[in-house]
Amino acid sequence: MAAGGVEFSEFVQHLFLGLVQGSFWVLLALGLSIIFGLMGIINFGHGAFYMLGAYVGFTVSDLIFSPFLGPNAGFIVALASVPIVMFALGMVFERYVISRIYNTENERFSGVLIMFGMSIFLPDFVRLLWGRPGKPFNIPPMFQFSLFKTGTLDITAYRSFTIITAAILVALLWVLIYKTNLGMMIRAGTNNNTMVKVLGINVSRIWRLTFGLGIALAGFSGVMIAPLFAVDATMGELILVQTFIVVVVGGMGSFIGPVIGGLILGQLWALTPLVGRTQYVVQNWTGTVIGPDFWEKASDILLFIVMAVILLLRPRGLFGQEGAFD
Amino acid sequence: MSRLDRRKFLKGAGLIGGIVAAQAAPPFLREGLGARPIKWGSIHPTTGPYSTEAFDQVEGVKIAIEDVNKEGGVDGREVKLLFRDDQFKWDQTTTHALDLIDNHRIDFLAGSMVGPEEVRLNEFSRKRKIIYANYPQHIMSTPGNAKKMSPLFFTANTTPYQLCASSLTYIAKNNLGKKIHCVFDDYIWPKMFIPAFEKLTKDFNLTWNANSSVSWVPFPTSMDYSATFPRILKEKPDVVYALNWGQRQVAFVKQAREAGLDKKVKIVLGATEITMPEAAGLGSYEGFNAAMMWHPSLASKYPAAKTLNDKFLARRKRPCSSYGMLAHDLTRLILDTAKETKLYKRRDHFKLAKVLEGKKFQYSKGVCEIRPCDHVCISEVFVMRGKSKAEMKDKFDHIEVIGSSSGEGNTVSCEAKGLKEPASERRA
Amino acid sequence: MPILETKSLSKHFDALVAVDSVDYSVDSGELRSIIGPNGAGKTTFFNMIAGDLLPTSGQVIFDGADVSEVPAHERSHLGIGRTYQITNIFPKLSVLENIRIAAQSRKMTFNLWSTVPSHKELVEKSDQILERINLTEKRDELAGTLAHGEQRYLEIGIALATDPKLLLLDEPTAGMSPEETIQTGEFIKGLADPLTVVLVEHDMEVVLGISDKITVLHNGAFLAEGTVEEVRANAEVQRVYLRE
Repeated sequence: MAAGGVEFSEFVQHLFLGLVQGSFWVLLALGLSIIFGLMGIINFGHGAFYMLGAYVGFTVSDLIFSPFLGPNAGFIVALASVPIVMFALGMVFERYVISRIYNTENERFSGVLIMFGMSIFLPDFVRLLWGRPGKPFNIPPMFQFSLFKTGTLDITAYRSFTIITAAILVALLWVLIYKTNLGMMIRAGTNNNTMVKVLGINVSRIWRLTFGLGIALAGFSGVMIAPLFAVDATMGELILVQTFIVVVVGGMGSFIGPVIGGLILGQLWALTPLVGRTQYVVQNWTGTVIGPDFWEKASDILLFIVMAVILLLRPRGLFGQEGAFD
Repeated sequence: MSRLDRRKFLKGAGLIGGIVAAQAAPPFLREGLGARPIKWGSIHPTTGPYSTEAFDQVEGVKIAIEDVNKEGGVDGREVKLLFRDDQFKWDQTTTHALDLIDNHRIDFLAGSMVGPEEVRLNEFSRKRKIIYANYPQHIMSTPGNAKKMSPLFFTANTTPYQLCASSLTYIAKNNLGKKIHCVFDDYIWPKMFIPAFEKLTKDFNLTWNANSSVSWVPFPTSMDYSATFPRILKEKPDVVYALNWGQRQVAFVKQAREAGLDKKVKIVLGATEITMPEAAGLGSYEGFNAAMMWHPSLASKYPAAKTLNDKFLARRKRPCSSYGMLAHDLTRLILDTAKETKLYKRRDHFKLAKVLEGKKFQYSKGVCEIRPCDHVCISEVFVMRGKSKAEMKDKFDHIEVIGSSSGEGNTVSCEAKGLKEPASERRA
Repeated sequence: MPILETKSLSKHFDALVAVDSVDYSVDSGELRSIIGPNGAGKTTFFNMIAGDLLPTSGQVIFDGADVSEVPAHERSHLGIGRTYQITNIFPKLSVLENIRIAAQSRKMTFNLWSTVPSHKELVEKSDQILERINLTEKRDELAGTLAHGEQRYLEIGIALATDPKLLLLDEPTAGMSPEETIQTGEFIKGLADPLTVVLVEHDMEVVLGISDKITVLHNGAFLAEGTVEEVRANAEVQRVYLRE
């Protein structure tokens, strides 16, 4: 693949970066997709809970544990406790807010509005509680090295850690959904919600756990991404857009959809800037050469274009269930 | 049953009618007689992504107005702040500006944080002939905008050209290297630096080319700058010059550190603010250089800066940012000039503008001057150095001033822009 | 002792009288059929017994208790299982899981986080039901991929897994071939006693051979009831069916 101006190591480096970006999109999109599949609520507040996860992680790590245990242990404690805290928070939120709209008129739309409201409320709430400037949260010392380094290729430890963690989490989630009783109930509810109710199964408990699970995934993604990006009250707004694209492309109501969608779009995002650096000259319809700067700027817009094309050709997404939006 | 006294009835009715009329009347009529206060109508996005900076601006304006009032007001009148939050929504900027100008009859229009707000308020200033105190970076200064600029537009802020000039001067003078590579966010602000780079890299004999020396980063959703690093490592520049802001700059700094980019090249941030190193962590800016319009540590050099920063610390429990300082100094400048000349009424604004043009002033930093032809504020721009964790005296002490440059040399000259007469005489 | 009784059970949809004051009684262990031409009110009557519709007036008495106002999912727990005219299964779950989830619904104390095969008695029960509905070989296939007839059996299996005392079957042979219909008839016959089975059929032939007693509804009202021979001999029934 050492095509033209692109070295092999450069290509691998971009693959690696795309895998990191894709892993986060997969985790977020799965949370979004699980909640949507079972409850029919498009969670516009997903990004806000992701942001909250990062802030909770900062508090647990920097304010509580790091001063006593050191930054490494502080970080591990944060990584372990944030999903638990967010899981509990999600369940409480479902119990006292979301559950009030069940069996009302237009309950799904009410759910969307509630979550949209959270996406506005939570950032300002966080600013009130934690202050307006962002919070420092850095790669813990134990991960500050490179696993492999040559030329432009630099496989850093923390990014590798995020890929592995995301992979383990996806595997665990798969086991949960396909091999446990809870997962069976979630799949049954996603598949035929009326039938589950007719059988006399206590769905409210399943819904509460599922909502908690989705929020825990969002919060965990937030704390895991914090050392790489910035911890800021607005961090959730931007990634939410990309997560929606992943879910739309991969397909709502499926497990494999968000996983494949996230990984493909991650690579698309990372490899597009390389196009302008190959030996191949790309021209537009007037014969003007499209320069490298175009491909660098395009990597974000391309995600939207892919989404538009998918929506035109296959509205349910690559692996989505037909009629998921009915 | 007592008969209602006719006179009493009329009195009562008149009183009620008067109250009703007063409530319904526009606010400027409600004030009645007596010394009418001078109204400073200021619009800031204190909700949304730039709320930190916007609150600093508001604080700066408040401090300036309080001090002016303490010194006796303007022409014996009290200055009153009418503050509005436009929530970072441009339609709200317009709505509030209309309300302030038409219903509240403000005497001065002020505020804004970013370009779209600046453009809208500039239009109000031009059409309604009211002085506009602009707090964000002077984008009206770019040659293409000269005709659109309101003749009553004033700012204490710098232009992108001034920021760029100070950094490149520092790089050239200190021999940090010849080859420059830029990492620019793909939106309007960094694009305004391109003409400056084209001219100044030639003047300083630096290696730079608009086509091959700029890595563009998608804006605003993409926040992983690492994707630009392989290309930078291949290009092997001496200096990486980055333009990004807020959480994006924090992300850039963290990612550059993670990849060890700071050990291979000199990293210069085109602009920064005290909140960013704070969000990136202790010692996070170590070894980085950055340009700034002001820094609270200047308190040790300028007494007025110390006064301002002390007030800020007392009120907001944190040092003053350059946003606070710029809003404060410009508000002071306009009100003090209005006080000296008594030209504060709306009909006198063109006369007041004439006085402000070419006026030299000094508040929180060295002497500044508003250039008549395009209202660019000729002022100091500071070069900063990031401190290590060990060097930091307190949790806000991330960067220090290591140099500054000022003067007209940092700007595109009036001749080069083809502007001769003062802006206040270019009346459409 | 009757396990199910209705007393002057009526359902009105605005001006339309769908079911008109029907008295009905089923003894434990019986296999009963309700027939009638289209629009006779069979399914409405049936839905009121299952709890999917609440009656306008009258009572439903199940196992000695008045359940007229009890919602469907609670009647399921009391022991009324049902199937639908349109197949109602979980197409994206495996055949075993379809049965399993129904069996599980009877046992609310199990651990949600445990794996599917970990509850031994649930697995055994599911396997027994699979054996009964003859789908053991397809236990790990997705329910959605089964043939139509097999899906109908699966639906009955789901209902069986909820341990019903009374099983309500809504046109169980709809869409089946003649041979399948005969087989299914035999299968249903095998379910009755100790289970009580009530089925609704449009097609008289299906039920003739297997039912203990047949009830005929016409225009929402009770028309005739009796053994196969009695109903066949009934002049009113002949008139209704012949005119059709």
